[in-house]
Amino acid sequence: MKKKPTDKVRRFTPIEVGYHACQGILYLALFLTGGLLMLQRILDKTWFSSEQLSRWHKIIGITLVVFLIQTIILGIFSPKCRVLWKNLREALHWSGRDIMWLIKIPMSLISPRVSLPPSRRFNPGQTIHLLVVTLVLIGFSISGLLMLAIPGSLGAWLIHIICFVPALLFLGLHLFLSLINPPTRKAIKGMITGFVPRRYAQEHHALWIKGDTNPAHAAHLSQRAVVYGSVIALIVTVSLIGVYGFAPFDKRVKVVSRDPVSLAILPGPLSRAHAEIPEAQGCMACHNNFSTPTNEKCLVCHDKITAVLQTQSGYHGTLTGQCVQCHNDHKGADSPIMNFDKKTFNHNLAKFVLRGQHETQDCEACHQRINPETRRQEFHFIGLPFTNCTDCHSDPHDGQLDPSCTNCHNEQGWTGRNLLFEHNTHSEFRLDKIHEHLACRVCHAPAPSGQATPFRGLAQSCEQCHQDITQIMQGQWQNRRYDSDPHAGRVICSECHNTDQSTMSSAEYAQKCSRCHNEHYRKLYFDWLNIVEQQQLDFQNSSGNLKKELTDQIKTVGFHNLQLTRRLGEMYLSKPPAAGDGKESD
Amino acid sequence: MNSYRIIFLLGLGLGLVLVGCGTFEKLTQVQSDFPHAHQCGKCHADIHAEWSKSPHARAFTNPYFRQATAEYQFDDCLGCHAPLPMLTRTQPTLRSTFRDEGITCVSCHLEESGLTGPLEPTGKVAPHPIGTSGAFYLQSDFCGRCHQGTLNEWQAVTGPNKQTCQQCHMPGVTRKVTQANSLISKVIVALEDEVRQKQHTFEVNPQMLSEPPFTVSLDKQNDQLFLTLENHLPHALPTGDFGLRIIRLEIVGTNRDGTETDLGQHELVKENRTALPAGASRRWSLPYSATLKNVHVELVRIGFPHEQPMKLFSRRMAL
Repeated sequence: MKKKPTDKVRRFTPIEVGYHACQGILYLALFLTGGLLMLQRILDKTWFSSEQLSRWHKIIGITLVVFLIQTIILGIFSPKCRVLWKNLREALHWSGRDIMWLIKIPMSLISPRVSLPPSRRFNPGQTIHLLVVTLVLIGFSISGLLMLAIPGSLGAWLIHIICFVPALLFLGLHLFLSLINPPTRKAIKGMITGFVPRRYAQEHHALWIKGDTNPAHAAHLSQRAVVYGSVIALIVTVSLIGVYGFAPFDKRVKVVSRDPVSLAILPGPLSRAHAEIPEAQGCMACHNNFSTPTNEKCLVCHDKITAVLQTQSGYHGTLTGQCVQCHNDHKGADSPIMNFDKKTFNHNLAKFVLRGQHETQDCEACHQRINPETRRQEFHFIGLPFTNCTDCHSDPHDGQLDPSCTNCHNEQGWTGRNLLFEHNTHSEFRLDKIHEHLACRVCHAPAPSGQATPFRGLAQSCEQCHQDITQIMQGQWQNRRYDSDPHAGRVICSECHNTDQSTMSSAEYAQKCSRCHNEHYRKLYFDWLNIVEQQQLDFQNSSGNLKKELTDQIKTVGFHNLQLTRRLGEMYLSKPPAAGDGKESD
Repeated sequence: MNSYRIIFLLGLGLGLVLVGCGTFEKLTQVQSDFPHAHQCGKCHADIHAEWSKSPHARAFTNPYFRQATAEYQFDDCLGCHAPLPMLTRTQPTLRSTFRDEGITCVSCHLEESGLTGPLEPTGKVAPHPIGTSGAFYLQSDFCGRCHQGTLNEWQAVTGPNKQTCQQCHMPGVTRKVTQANSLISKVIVALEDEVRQKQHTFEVNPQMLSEPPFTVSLDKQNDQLFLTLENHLPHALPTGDFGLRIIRLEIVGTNRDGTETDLGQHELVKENRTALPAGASRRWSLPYSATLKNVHVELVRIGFPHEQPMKLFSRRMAL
């Protein structure tokens, strides 16, 4: 029992053990998250959410930085922690023996007979590892903090990536030696408990613990382990290439750049717009080394924004700050670089303030166009013309009416009570009681495609619209000529028709007769009405092609050409024609 | 005249009266049927001939009336166009038989007292009962029972020489009332006296008028040409209550080079209130040009389509 402590020597103080464990765990976690991020980007795969990985990487990274700063402060003020500084100081002390050790260590792998010079508590390899990790940590910390502080900073990114390469190599080596390599893995216990076997210390760190063993013969590397390790690393690499091939790389090469550095560290595929424009390719097109991508870089290409910024007009013209506050890239070819929320976007900061019906429209209703160059449908925001209604709306009046739409329309709606147009006030044609209930299209008939619906130059007189009645009065019917009615050309429509009332009773019509004729005609009107109505019935009950047409027309014909009605009866109801009737002529 | 002859004639007359009573009895049977025009015309041949060509004879059958009443469907019109005998002297009513004769003999001349007219009997024998109502038949009111509107116009006219309807539209003539068509009737007619009586022509446009019915004149004032139409009739131009009556002035100018220039047409329509009232005149401005040599004015009465226009007046006036 008493001998046991002498079998082991304390190699690491609890502070050193604790420090190593803490830093190691954080370091590994950062490698895991950062490495996965990198791998996913390189392979263009999404095994884990990049956002989550990135977030955890940042959290752990900050934790590590905090831990390091805390350690530095403790190392200055706490005597117990000073050992850490001491180790670092020792690591900077190099002798010829240490150089020889470094030269001989590869040889010892080939021939175990090569004897290595004795080492101190840290052999030169461990010393180099310590220095590299220290440097890498400093690099990672500073560049990481810079990346956090300056989004899009290319230099920081570069340093971080550059640090990753030696860090990865040394981590691999470190883990190999401490976990796999049989001659050295014995020391892992020491890293946990702080104690190593005295014999191991005497063999590997002869300058630190002197003993009777011959340290010169102590093996540091196992040939088999190195070979197996190398083979496994090779298999993993080949497998990855076998599974994923070079395709992801090829794709990225095509999409991104001819610039190998950009390619190597590209964080994600560019949006299509940027990827297709040569000027936007290459990291330096947008990025700066140690600052966020500045507006100047963006405005080299986005000259429309430059223009509105100079005039301080439009949505962008009223904004301050950096483009990258709203716009980011490297999120995939189809990612919307606009990066705005339709629901929360305040359109009223734009030049065109949305009111009324414009408020409820889909963005696409206005902000979409066919790109004249690419022939592709795309969103279109900057420089969308809006001064004239016709910039977006086609003119349904085809230029026949006042070019100022707002004289009649407003943004609350086109029609109904929102229509400011008052036919009786704004047009030359007063809508009387007869015409006011007509649908617009009755007069303003939708024209056959390619022609404008007529709004101007429409007929004003009765005859111009009611040509059929004029023709009937003149004896023209169904392309045949009959006797004209005596009223034709002698009586104007309004002599019989009141336009200030929507309908007229037959008594009112009868009254109209007696305005020109004697009182007997009042009764004659009803006599005639009976005849016309009877004829209508007769036609309804008859058969033949003209039945429907005649039934519809008979009343119109009947009261506008009395004799023609008689003739129709004779022609189509098989009544013998009376003498003295009109001769038909085609 | 010796007594023998007188006795012979009395005997013959008696015989004829007896025969006549037997022959013409039905002329007075008003209950079941009326004498037809052709029956009257057997003796009153001249009057029948005049009437046959008159508008009254065609009042019912003329195609324009038939058209206008939609095949006689308008009851209101028919009364005047085929009236019953005017026994009651009220509004003419439609008779139920031989409507084709229109305003036929009995429409005017059959009364309760017999076949009535303005003249005293002129013959030595009367084959049918004869009533006399001179004043009534010669007054415009008699015509006005049908021609109400025109009568109203006529009544409104005041003046010294105002003619009645009959004076113009039934020109006077001196002749016997009947004309013989057989041996016996020749004897009877021979005994009749000639008398001043009315022709039954009922002319729309009477020719034998004492004064011109209207005058047309031109006057030129400062290169402006005016046409004046003066209506001397005791009724409007045109007149009439029903149907289609239009007077059209057709004015054509002749230039010095012989070419013609249309100087316009003007319609006078009662219903359009463009008829020229009795005694009134109207003046139209005509397009004037210095080359105009004379102006030809025609007044045409037009009616329904296909009705023959009637030329009322035609005159060429030099400028």
